[in-house]
Amino acid sequence: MQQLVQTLLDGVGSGMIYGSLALALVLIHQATRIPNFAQGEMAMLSTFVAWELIDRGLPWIAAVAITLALSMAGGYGLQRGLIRWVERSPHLTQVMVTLGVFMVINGVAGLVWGYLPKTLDGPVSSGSLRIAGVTTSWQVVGMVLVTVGMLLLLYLLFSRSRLGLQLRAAAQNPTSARLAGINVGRAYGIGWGLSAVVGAVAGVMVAPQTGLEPNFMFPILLYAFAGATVGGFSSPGGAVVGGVLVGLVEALTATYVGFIGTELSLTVALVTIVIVLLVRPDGLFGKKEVARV
Amino acid sequence: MTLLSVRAMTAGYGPVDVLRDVSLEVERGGVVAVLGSNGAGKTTLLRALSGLLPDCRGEITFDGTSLRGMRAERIARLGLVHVPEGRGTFPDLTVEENLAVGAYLNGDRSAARRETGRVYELFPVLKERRRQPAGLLSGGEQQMLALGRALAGGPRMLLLDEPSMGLAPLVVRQIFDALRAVVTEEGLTCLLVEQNASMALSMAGYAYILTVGAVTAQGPAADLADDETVRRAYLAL
Repeated sequence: MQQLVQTLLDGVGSGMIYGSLALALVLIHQATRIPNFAQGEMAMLSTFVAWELIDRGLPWIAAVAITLALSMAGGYGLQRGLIRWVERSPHLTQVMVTLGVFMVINGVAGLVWGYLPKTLDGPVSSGSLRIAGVTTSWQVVGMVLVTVGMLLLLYLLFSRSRLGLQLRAAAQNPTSARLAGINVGRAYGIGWGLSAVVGAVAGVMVAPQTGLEPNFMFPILLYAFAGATVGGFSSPGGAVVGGVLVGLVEALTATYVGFIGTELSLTVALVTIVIVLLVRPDGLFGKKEVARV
Repeated sequence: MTLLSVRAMTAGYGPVDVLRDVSLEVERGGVVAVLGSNGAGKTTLLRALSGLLPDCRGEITFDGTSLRGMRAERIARLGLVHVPEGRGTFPDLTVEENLAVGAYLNGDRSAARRETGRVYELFPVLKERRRQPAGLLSGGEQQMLALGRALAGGPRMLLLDEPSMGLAPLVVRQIFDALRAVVTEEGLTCLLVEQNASMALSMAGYAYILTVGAVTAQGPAADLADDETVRRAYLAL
């Protein structure tokens, strides 16, 4: 029993990370219909920026705040400088471009910071916490709080604010949005910027556990894609729930299915994607994509 | 006083010119109709005016400002608002949110609230359904919403693309009654593109006839409504 609760808690903890990155993927997909394979590397780059700032003596909170601001600007710049040119291109072209961005960021990070793992400290003690006989860490508690808080903020932004309404309008009907005076290009840029910020938060949360090196986000990106597929690419809340479900499946199979263990846990993510696509291609919370022909 | 003037405009899509050398003028407070059959270039004309066709040649001035090369969102902010053909709403936003997006064109919040209230007065059904996603509305209600969203921004001139298209006669009457109300009470200027010529001519003061991309006739709406060739070609009388 105790082991089960423990496993579930671990699953929720890592699931929150997957959910955050899945949320970043969904934000971009909602705004520009592009599956962004560079999302993990963008988050990795942000995390290295945070590490660099802390390494140069900035307090943690200031370093992260600057990192988030730079991520916003970077995501905006990437969309306005590069992605806009393939907005109307076929999906395959867009995928190739994001894969290209993936490789460029990965290579540059390796060149600048090297491939030896660095330690990034979290803001909370790495000590453990015992509640009713179950041991968990402050990190897990922090991740849950941060993800829930972030989701709440995004919800408020998109449902209550003028900017959020304009971003949704631009994503749903770009022509009508322009006719209503909305600068659609700027809206897409902001969508990418927000998504880069959400990814940066995920990167900073996960780095204390995994160590920081240029490839550290790659497995997490796979789980995030699994989470977004489970939740549905059209539902931001669903993406987070999907991420948590993937985290739970990963933790449970690793603990209870002997032959999977930790070696095959990435395979679990891919199998999850395939099963969901076969059974419910729009995800648990997604809406059917209807195309008029 | 001329509010909108178009001189020698040629516009189209890529290498294909749909409009050739079109000139027209709209007086402040006036309603001008552009009639023509399918494919005459009516929609292209409005798309060129609202900045959706980046490479159109000729001179367009709105209230003394040249619109040449101006982006669509800037033109909308000048108060020249295009109500696109067939829906053009934001399907996943509620009716209320759709109107709010339109109302952002108002400078201040009290004006936005006032104009939105006026839209609910004109189309009570929108108020009843204000919490529903626009995608669930009927065709007529969507057209009302599209028009309502434009009016909520407090426009200085409307570009209306076939507001009667595909709608039941009763709904068409409702929409035109609302339009007539804003035109007479507030002196709103309109450029109305229509296939429903009798409806359009009954509202307009002046009209142009567009045939395969060129203006082939023009005159006061009442004269055109009496003209034998026009009656035969567009009024099916």
